[in-house]
Amino acid sequence: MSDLVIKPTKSTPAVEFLAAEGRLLIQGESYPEHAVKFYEPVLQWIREYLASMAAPLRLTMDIVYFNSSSSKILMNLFDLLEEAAAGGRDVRVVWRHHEENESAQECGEEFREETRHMRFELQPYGDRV
Amino acid sequence: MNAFALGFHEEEQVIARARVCLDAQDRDCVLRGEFALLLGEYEKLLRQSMRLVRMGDRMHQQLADLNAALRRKQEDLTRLAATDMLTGLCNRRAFMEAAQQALSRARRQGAPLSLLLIDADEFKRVNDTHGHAVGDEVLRRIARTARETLRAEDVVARIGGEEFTALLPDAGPEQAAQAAERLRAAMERSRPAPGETAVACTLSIGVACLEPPPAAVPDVSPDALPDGVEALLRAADEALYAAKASGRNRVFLAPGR
Repeated sequence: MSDLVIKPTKSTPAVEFLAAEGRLLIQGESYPEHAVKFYEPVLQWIREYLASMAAPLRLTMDIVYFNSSSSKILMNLFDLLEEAAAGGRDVRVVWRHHEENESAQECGEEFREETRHMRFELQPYGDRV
Repeated sequence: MNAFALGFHEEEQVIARARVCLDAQDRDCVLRGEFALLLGEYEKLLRQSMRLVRMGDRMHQQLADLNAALRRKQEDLTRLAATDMLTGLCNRRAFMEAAQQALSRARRQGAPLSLLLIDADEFKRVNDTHGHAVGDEVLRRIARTARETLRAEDVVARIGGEEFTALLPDAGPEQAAQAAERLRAAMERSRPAPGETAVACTLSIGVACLEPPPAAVPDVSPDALPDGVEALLRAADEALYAAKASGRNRVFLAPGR
């Protein structure tokens, strides 16, 4: 299975999915004009990964700002992972946020509250040196 | 925030009624499965909607806060760009802008406008003898004295090394000369602030006035008058030069035009 790498733009995050390592990263800001269109290959890749690989999946989210349509898609994405976790897959999401960004932290909490089976961790970080 | 606070209480009531309805159905009712599925999805949709609203509100609040901070920074920068850092007075750029506006207003209202050009006497000697730090103290003292002596509506600026200027709206030649004389005398008397070095410094001041054109001159647009800010500055500069040439520490009024 091939990797999925999407370069960030002003309104879309960087996506780096490395199939061999089971490591997924979504990082940046997310307010695309067409959120469904932007995230379709992302969701598709995850569906394929879950179907074809049995290895654990670790998704790191580092999103500073996202619009409402992005948050709905992210809910769909977490649903997908939650379903896999419910079926016994080792799924772990790390929601990274700046320690002073309360709103990013609270959004992470909103997403976490919707999950039961997968591990969903909030990981604050300080200023990058 | 709960469903009621977010405006979703009707949806919650519908769910509660549907639950009761579902529980009352027979186990073998054909539509029970479909109904339960629909209700489950509806509950999830409601939950998600509330989360979306809460997250959206947070982000908007964050953006609004950032926006306000940005506006404050912008105001700080605008103020800094217009300020002479040493004295806290307007700088040359801000002064030229203020002068242009004051001039337009004076012409529109047919009011007089005066300009003082203020120069510290033998300032180079202060710097050479006592060093730049003391020179800076003297410049700050001049700024302080000018602010204290002139009116609140007068715009005082530092426009060069030891050169200051003041714009006096609604002041004719006599009033402006009096104000300049008050400033000159105050500076002569002034004492350094606590901790500052005692260095005497006097001021030479050139005064120029723009007087309203004679009332009811037909066919003369105010803008057609030749006096611009530059002309006013030139006239004040000539008067300042004369004040310097006649021995410094004095006020000279440019001849009326």
